Amino acid sequence: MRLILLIALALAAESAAEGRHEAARKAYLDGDSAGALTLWGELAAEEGVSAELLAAAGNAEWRLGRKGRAMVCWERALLLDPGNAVAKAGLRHASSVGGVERPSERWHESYAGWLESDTWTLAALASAWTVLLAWAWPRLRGRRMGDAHHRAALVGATLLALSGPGLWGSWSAHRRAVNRIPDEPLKLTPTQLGEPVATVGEGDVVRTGRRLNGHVLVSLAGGQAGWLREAAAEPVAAEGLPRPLDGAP
Amino acid sequence: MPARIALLLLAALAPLAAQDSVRHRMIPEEPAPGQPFRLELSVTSPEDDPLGPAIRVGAELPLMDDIPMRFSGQRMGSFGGGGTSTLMVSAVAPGTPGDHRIPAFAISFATRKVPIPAIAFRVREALPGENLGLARAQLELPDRPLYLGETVAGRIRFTHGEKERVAGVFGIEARGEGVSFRSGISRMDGADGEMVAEFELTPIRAGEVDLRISGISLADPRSGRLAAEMRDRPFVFSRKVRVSRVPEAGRPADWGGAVGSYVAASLTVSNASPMIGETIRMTATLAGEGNVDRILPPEVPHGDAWDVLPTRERRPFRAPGERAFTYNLTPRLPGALRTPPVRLSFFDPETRSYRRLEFTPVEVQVSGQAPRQVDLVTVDPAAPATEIAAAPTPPSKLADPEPTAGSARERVAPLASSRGLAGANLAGLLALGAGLAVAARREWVARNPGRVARARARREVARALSRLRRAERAADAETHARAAVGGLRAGAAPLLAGQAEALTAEDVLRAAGWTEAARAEAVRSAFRCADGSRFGGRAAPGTLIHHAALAQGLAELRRRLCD
Repeated sequence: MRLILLIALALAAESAAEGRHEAARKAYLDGDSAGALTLWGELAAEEGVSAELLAAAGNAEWRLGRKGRAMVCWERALLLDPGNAVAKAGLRHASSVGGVERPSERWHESYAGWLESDTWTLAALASAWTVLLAWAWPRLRGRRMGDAHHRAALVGATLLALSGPGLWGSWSAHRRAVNRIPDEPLKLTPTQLGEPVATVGEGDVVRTGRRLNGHVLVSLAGGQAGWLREAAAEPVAAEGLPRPLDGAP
Repeated sequence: MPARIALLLLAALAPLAAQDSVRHRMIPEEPAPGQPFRLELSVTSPEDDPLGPAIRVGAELPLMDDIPMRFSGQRMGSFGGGGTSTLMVSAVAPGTPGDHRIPAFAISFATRKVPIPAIAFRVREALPGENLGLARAQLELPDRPLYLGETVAGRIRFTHGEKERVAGVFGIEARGEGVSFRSGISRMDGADGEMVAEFELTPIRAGEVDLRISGISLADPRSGRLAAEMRDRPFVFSRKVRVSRVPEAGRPADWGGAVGSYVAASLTVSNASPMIGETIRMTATLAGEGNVDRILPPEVPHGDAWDVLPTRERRPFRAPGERAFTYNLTPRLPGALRTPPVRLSFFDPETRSYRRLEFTPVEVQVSGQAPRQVDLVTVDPAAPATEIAAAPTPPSKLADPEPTAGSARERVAPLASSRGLAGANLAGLLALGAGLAVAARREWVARNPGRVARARARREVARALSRLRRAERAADAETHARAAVGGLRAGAAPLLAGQAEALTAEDVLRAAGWTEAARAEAVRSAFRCADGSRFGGRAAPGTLIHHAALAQGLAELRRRLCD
């Protein structure tokens, strides 16, 4: 009886969540982007985010004119699912006609886009352990490597070599950030009154480096390097929806 | 010819005759310790070369800690056929009796500079029961290191004397290259009606700064006479202050030069119920003691709900110790919004640490509706109007989202950054390494059985030798013999590739190659003593007398096992 009750409660909760998803989508299609965002924000707080939810939230943020938040949503959606069509379309739209600058993908980042970053990690780990065990297992048993061991080691080494660039590309793709502040100065030094060398627009994607004195070393799409305030640069690799700027230190 | 020489002499002496003469007079001539006096400097110039009025006398008087002096006026007149300027200087005698000296200095007049020679004078001993009852001045500055850029509030407190009271203060100024000085108000303070003069100091150079503050007070004699008889009382304070830079350690990135102690006084908005897109004005008022006029306005970032633009405050200093920062806010979204945070970091010189304050946000009710879609597509403003009109619809557009399709909620942080995964792999690698090490050891042992037996025998012999020495010290003959035999058997076994327990004394002698009679007798004796009971009683009384030979033999065996 208790089990049936629990199942019924779970089904009811699932149904309520689906209802809210549907209501959010309807609000979005009706042009109420603010309302849709509110509902998606509640769902994200309760259930966590998925690539689809992030991509949808990115669309709504873009419609509200909040470039920075939209770019964070789309970039984050692509980290979860490199093949997400909505996020890809959003980024293409923003880069082509929206005035947003985004560093072009390097070959290893394009390569890493074939699989999710966790899949690359698991593949690299599995292949590395395969090579290690194929070599070590006969030794542990006091025997020589047999044909099967050689074959396993060869397969593992091949997989490891293939997953190496994928890991590199994933790591590189995670080291990016989106500028959230309109016309944020790119500074020559990581100080409050550092000399501005360029201006970074809201929503522009930058590659990030080390951090110092409340600033992060970045390179822009054009290759120009400088320091950006940490409060302005939101890392792409982070949990959930974009952080509220009002609470930023 | 003599007439020419006389003319030349007159021409040579003419400049000497045109020199200025300087005389001085002190009133009184011999002041008491700490007694005010007046110094009159009379400068007489040649009739055809007038001096004109004196300028900058106040800045040219020597600044001495023990003899404060202030220029109080000058009198132009004619004396002895030439023009005479009399400069009156108010001064206070030193507190110690004896001979004193005002060093030489120069005074600038309108036409030239006149050197004033050093002036020596004497301060008489105080008479018995003499009480001048003069007013006193005291400097009050914070007793701590000062920091570059901070505004230090200082005061000079004037205490009334028994025979005179301070009625006013003027001309307070500071000499010193490392500070910026601003004189404040003078007021009566306390029940006693003491006069207090306030000023502000701002160190502008790090290091040790010589600070000299001087001024003049008006002393009113308590004699009921007219105020016109008020007297000047100059004062000078000399201090060495240490000026440090604010520390770099722990300095927040948003520190904007604020040094002092502050509180967030208030945060107000011009309109608490605006429409979407309607700009309102937010004013944050800071209060406290410090360099309010040297603080950079704190940066308020654009929020998700607000567009923020800093603006120029028309009246930033509304009251002493207050500073207002003003921003223009434009709401982006409808609903109950809170104003964006205004935070300010400052360095507190008392606690020598950085602190941060935040103004309490104000709730604003924004009415209206969010725009259906904001046009973020850029158009080249330099393009001709015809081209813009003829431009095709942008080829890209947003795709319709399907957020319900993602049933499984996922995480953005990559698995590779998981510490658990890294720990598990590290543990696996360590376990594999340990297993490989054990396997390698096992294989080595299998490949080198003799070396293992020798190593084991070496350890056995060492233990036996130790037991042998202990038994010798304890005079325990039985244990001594057993230890000797155990060690000899263990050491000889690897040499013969035999079992240690099966070896006899002759085996040991053959394996070791010992032929000396004494050592052979010692070995046989040890075997008889240790194993004699097994073969029909003890045949030897003990082996203690052979201890040296047995110990030497065991040590030799151990050395041979090392080869």
